Amino acid sequence: MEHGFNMLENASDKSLERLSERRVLTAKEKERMLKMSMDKLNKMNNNSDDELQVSGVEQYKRPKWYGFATAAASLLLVGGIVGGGIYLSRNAHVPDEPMTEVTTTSETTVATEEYDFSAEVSQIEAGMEDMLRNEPHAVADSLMMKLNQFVNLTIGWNVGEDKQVKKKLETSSGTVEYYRCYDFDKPEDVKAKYREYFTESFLNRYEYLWNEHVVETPIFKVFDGKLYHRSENIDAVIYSYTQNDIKINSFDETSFNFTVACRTQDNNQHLLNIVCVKESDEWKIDSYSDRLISDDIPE
Amino acid sequence: MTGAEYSALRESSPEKAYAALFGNYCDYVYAIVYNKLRSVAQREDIEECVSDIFADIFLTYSNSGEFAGDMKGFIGTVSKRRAINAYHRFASRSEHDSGESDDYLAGVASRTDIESEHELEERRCILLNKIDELGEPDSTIILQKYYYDRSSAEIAKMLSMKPSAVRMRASRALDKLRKTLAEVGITL
Repeated sequence: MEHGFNMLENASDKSLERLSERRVLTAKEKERMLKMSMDKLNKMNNNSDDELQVSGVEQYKRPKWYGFATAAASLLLVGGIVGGGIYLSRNAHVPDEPMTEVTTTSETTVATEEYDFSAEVSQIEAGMEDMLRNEPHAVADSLMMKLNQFVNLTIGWNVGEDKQVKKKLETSSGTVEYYRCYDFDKPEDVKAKYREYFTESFLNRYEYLWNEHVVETPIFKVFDGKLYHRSENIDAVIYSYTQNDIKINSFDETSFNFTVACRTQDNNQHLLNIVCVKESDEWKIDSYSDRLISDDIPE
Repeated sequence: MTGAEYSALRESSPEKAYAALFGNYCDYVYAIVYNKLRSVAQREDIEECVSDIFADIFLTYSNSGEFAGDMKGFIGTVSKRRAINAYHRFASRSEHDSGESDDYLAGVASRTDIESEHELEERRCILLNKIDELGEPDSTIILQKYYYDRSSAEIAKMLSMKPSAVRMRASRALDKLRKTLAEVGITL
């Protein structure tokens, strides 16, 4: 192996794109991996009798919990927000009072509405838990994914939004449009879902998302018994980083603090400081701060 | 392939949609996974990870129309996350024990770290530019041999060349690459 090429490891997105522009795989390798992917998909669908073949057609149903769990493990990239992230960062702050252990009971449940994946989930979660116990970086990385998801909630990520189905709300400052959300029934459901990854005190700072007693036009609102979402017309904020950018500042059995040097799509550099606590054996984000440290910022 | 195109194809034929999606993005996903795992995993493990990623994407990609546009960003992000998780698994198996991995008392990330990463990225760009300047098939041969660690026989089959021709071209291209990099102060 030519060691000089090691500098290509952990490349940026731009470099990865360039690497992928050249021929990477043989036809045989592609065929083999496609078959492996299809076999895994069939196994996940738990549908061995009516397997998806290369030539067959099968209607599959996505279990809601799995969709959310894997969506939580991935970043959804749509457009680009700057205002939303800055807006959220203005409202997010490190708590003044010292961190205390939260004693509320965790409500983590896995809904298996359509398929019973409980055995597989337990196995996956046990494996993940084991890894997470030994790997602070992995915990930090996993929680960063959740944070990236959360900061883009205002533009309708992961809520099953359909912009074709609208409601209009007349307010003191004009007409506001809301779009139907199919993945949740009410604002409390959205909050409950994010309670799996964020503490109550964290989510309480974002009451404008789901509490119409706090703001005239919350992000989530119910019309005629159905949930709608006020999608902000701003770009997504996606904090991009590598493993080397995560610095663990402190880590013990009940609390965890790390810092991540990130870049956003507008090429600004941010320094995020994340404070986490353990609630019923689950790590959750309790607060975070976002400091813009780009060279573009004027003195 | 856009999200809308994929969704439309999946309505009529899921298996065609999956195959099309795979065909469009497998090189990209493989490049991402390989880039992360090349120092800790075997090729079979990397292929396993790639197939995990695609199975995941096939299963979870929403039909809601959120991603009517380019899917590349979504796929790239899923790939990176999976690759990072896989890296931890393989790295912990090969090198670390849990006691050592808990010892992460680093300070707050400084601008120096960001600047070092920026410098490294610049060097990568220069390396990729110089590789591009070699032209085909030398650019592909160089990357396949020295980055993807393929044998001359494998590369020869891929490019419909003789192994001896691949070896010769690889050697000459590497010499040329070293010279052009040295001119800009980079030692390979």
